[in-house]
Amino acid sequence: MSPARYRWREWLSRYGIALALVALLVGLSLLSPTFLATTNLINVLRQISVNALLAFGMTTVILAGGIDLSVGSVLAFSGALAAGFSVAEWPPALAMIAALAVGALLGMFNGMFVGYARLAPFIATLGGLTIFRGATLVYTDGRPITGLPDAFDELGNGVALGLPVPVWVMLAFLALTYFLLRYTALGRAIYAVGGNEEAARLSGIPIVSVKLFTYGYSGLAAALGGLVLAGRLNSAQPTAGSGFELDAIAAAVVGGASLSGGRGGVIGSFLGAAIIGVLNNGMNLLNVSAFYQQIVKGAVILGALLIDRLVAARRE
Amino acid sequence: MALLEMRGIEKRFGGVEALKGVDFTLEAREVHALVGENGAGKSTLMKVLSGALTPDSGTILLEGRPLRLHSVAEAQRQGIVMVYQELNLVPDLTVAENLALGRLPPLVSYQRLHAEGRALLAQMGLRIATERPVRSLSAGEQQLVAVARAFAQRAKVMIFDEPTATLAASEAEQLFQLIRRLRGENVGVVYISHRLEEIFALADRVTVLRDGARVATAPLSELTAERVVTLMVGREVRTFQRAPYGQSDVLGEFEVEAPRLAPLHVRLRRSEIVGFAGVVGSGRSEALEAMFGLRGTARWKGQAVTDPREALHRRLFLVPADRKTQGLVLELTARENVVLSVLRRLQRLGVIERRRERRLVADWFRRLSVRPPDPDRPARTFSGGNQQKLVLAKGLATTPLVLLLEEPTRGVDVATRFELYTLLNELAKEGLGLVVSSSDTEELAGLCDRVLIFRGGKVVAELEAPIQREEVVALVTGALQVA
Amino acid sequence: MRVREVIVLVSLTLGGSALAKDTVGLSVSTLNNPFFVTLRDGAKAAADKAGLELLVLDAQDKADKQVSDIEDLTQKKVKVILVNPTDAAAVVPAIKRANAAKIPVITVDRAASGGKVAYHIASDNVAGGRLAGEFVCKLLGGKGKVAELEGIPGSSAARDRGKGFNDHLKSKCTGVKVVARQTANFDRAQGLTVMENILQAQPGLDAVFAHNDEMALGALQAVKASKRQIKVVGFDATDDAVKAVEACEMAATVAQQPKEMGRLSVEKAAELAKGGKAPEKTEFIPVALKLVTNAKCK
Repeated sequence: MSPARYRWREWLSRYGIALALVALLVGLSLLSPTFLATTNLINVLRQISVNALLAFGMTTVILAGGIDLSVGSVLAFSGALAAGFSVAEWPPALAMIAALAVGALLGMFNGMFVGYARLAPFIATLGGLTIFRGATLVYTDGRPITGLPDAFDELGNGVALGLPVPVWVMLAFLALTYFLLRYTALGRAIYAVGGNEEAARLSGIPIVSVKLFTYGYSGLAAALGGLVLAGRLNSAQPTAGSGFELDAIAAAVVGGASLSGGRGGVIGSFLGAAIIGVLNNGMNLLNVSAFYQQIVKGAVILGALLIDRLVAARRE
Repeated sequence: MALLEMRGIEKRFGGVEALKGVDFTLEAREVHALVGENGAGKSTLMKVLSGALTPDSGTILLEGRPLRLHSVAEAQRQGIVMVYQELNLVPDLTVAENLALGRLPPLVSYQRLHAEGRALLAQMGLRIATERPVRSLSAGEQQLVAVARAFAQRAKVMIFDEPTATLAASEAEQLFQLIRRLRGENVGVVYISHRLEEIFALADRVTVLRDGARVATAPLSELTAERVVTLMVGREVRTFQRAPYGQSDVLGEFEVEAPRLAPLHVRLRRSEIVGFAGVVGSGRSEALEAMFGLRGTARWKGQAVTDPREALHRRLFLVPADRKTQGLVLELTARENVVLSVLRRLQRLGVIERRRERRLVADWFRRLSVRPPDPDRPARTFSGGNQQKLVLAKGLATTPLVLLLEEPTRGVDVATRFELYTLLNELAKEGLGLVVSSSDTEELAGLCDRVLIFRGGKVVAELEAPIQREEVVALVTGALQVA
Repeated sequence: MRVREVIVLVSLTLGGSALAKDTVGLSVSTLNNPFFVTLRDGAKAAADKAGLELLVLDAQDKADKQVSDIEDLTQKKVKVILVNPTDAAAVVPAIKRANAAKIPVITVDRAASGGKVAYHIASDNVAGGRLAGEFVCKLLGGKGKVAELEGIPGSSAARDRGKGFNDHLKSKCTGVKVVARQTANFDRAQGLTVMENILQAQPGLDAVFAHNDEMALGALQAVKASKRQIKVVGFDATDDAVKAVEACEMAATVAQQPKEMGRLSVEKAAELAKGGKAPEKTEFIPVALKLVTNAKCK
């Protein structure tokens, strides 16, 4: 392949998602007059915050070659714990930190089954999905926990410097994850384990520790999302987060992460979450029925996967 | 008219000519052996015949008819079957079901299935119960079932590629009897093997390939083992000469125990290059992997090497056989690959110090003359030889005391090969101890101070410099028996 | 193109709302439930009559989607937002945001637990629960064991219907005892499985009261399969339930009037859209209920 075409393809695979997002924004702004308003765009950013948080955590797991289906349930459980503790008169900050810690621990619990017992990640985290959801239902007795202190409302609905607090949380976590993946030795090890586990092992990388970390990080992200969602909904819902794992995976994959590991990044996942969020928002504004919205979302994800496969195939 | 004729087969892979206009004929009721060193082209030629590869030019005639084979399935339909142990059989189905695979009628009567299976096995002279699931059979029995199955598919030409590599002696004998039976049933058999004693026992004719060309074809009655070896090896084109060294102090000793391997002791000195020679399955690769902690149990200087992390900690490094699947993470850049084993040393508070990383990589790129000198390109964009250099750089960055190399120049072009040999020589001079496990006898003869010959899982001989290539080949193939 | 045409074109695209009809937004909990479909139809008919555009967003029973839906309606600057909450607490922040944007909010069928709401239009679910309680009491002759299938925990409908039912039994009909009480989330499939489990656990059951017809119909299937003689009472009087009552399969259902509810909510919205003033405190507008039975059944 001539160098020019080669570079063009590399460029497309890197920036293709951003291009798609821009195209989507342009298209929707033509179709709906209220779309491009600043308030709406801020709306969208707020609406994608929780999914983006989950997607960032999911990205690290996917990069290391795994997958985490339990994030929706961890989100619900952590949110419920934080709410429950707050209602029981704990200082809100302490309740939130405890919930974050529990989320990370639950994630590592999953990770142990993958790392030590060598269970397939899909199966191990599927178990986590049901177990943690059950735990949430038990803890909440199937009812939403309400009466949360103001700290939650601030977290979910507050505004700082013109942007909603959830958006700040999302951006901060994005920066943290980006830094982790790009600049630290651990980040490098994650890419290696996902890219070629055998080679990573022969190079002396502690495979199990790396995987454990990614699952713990994903659990932490889910817990953070749970806190934000509880704030946004002014309550901890026992059904919170149902199906969120699929949206997180979709965001990561649309954003360029390869499910076989070793390729992708959080910026891409952010763009992927943005594309999905923009689609949802645009379709709402255009009054498209919710049933059609599902179809469109699925089609977009498939399309993104196909394009990724085509680019990858040509590369070889 | 010959059963099978291959004329003028040519095949290139990138810059390498694997087959240079090879002719090969096979008669019905004949066992025709195909021999040659690694890389001589035997497997390539047979992949062309079995439909797995298409030749760049040349023709294949089966019973006088020209064939265009685009797939293995098509070759099989024409009656050309390559007997692979793993690929043909379904482990969870019974013997009878496997024998009938692909020829099952829509409605299956199990009685008929087993009756037919039993009849087939009887015809082949095999005593295996048809109800047994294939996974319960030994490796040898599975091999026999695979052969019977190929025969049931009306194969006219059957190709065997190193079939006894994983078989015990008694199982091999059963296989030979089966092959002789096939010959009686009008089948033509191509038999590839490194083991000359087998070939002399079994085959009618032999064709010798060397460097992609056919060197000789003759009935075995007209040849001796020594002559065959000479034909295989030919005249040396250019040997790398090892810089001689004097005795120096011992670095340490490896004690290795692994399945299919007799207990092994290897003493390694500073500046010494030790070679492991042997065919696939002889134990040389297994021994090397064990020394790095990948299998079995090994001790280095008295302490156990439990896994690669431990091995690296003890300043051992393995350059693995397959750089694409074991040596490099192809999606990462060359730089990221080179520092993969020393991440811990390059970090401060978890963050990688970019400047130190860049300097380290630049140093090794320069020392090893990696081309193109652009460490930010993905590793997969580098040529085979340069990829091998990247793996080497990764290892050398860890400042090892012992370097273990498995097939270090496989798939590497001649020029880079020479560079690598020069480099290994320099490393030895600097005091490293090297162990090179290879199927390339020219490489071993030119590079090593000592060569350990592996056969059947144990070291049968040890040769000291100056090492004769023919002697290595002879010992490895069994043409020469150790007293 | 001439300047005049350009101006018309641009203003059509940008200032669309200035020329089109006033828009009212309806955030419905789920259109998977025929009750809400009828409610939406009633709302739509009223909107057409009042010359209003009705924008319907379906939250598919997901609290977070509903919050996004309400935000999007706020974004679109509709004149009034009608909210049929999936969860009373979850919608509060979104309602507050609508309040901040000076868009009046009306809750329909279920209440929200906070925020400024101009009108709450719902059946008097407590009275409806009481009706069901009275009927069951009479049916069982003052003595018996009943099971109760609850709606989505936390929703005002479930709370109120349960309250009406149980209060009546406790005060006026102590011979009838509730021996099993489980939630089936207003869903037919869950009603079926939960009822199956209850049938297993309770050997002697005389009747079951479900907080809505969907669950009642699900429970009915379980009862039919068990071949036990158990009376089934629902709530909502959807078409399927009414048919079941006419066929003597279900004993009774409490008729809400979802179409009426939809109509009333849009009428109130029209008032507010045309400049009417919203009341200071949330005004509850009850929608009448009646019991639907079939005297011809034994």
